Amino acid sequence: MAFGIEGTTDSGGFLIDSNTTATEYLTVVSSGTTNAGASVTRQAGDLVFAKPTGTSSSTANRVIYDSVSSSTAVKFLHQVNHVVLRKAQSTTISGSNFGIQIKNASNVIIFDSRSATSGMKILGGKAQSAYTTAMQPNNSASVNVTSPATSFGGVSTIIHSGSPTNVYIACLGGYYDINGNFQLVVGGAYYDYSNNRILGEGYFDLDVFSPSTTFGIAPFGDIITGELVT
Amino acid sequence: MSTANMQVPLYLHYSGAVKRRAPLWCARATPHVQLWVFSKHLQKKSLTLNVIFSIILFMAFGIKIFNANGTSEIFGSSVSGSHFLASGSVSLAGGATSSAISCEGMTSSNTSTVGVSAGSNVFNTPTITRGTGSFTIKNNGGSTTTFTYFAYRF
Repeated sequence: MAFGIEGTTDSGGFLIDSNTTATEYLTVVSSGTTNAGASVTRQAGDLVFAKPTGTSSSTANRVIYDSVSSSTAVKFLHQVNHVVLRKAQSTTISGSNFGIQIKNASNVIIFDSRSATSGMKILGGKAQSAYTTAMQPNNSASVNVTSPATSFGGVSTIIHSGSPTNVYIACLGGYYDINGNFQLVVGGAYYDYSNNRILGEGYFDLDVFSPSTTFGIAPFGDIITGELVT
Repeated sequence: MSTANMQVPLYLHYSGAVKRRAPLWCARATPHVQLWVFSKHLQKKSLTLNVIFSIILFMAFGIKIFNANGTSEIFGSSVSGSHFLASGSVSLAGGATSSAISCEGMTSSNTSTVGVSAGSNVFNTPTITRGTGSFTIKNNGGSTTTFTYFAYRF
């Protein structure tokens, strides 16, 4: 490639680099509210972020979702605010012929300022090995947990420290199945507003045959948190 | 998208250095040309370019793109955002490991900048093994399972 552009953050972090082959900026294409039990539609390669709509509910102050049963939707157990991010080459641009458009060497659009009307500021990330999930208070299994679990098996469940009010989690890998025989949650997030943190939530609770509860389910992978900037 | 929203690209604030790669034909020359810009405004339609060069040594670096109101930085040196690297699904027999899945920029240790997740709709957390420029997924369960994965940079 003869020409290109490279941008970094104030601290030297990655911002944009046209000298890449498969790294494409994810721009915000939609945001809104998804009701309990409803789904957010997505395209292949979309990244969905979510946070609880309210801060007062003791049962719905969490993001529990199913991102693996459908390739075109993410389903939520409780009501959430959602944000959908999409690759620049897949966004719809109309009208204007000004701004910045960056392509990589293969002529793939990796950034287009015309589609960037808001942004998702990434606050931080956790590697899969650096956190786990546990059963949290007021869970969907109706198991009495008196206080938030900040660790399990010596591994922290803390996904985010600080006020969680405006913090979204990326719905990268989660699953739930809540029914009369068992309750399974993997990769959930519990918003602990009282203690200003977000904790991982995951469990399997069996109600029939030989009732038992399994805590401390390892998450499906790494996770990131972000804040919507409008 | 409203007309107002489409005006967003008009408010491009460059508050620092923009690095441009040198052409390959002059690879032996200085590899980067560093342009220090104090402010730059692209105004609607007229595309008036107002560039003020600055030699203020302590000025911030980077690119900043603001919202339509010019009040919030939505992309730039303070708002890096996230980047797509790879996504898809792979079906694995019990105990099997996938072929290497390409993931630009990944190393075995750079979890603070490149992430990946892989899950299924069964009670089965796979093992993700990071490599250089790729990763693999191992099915730790006993039956064939389809795992969906998503890799990203931030």
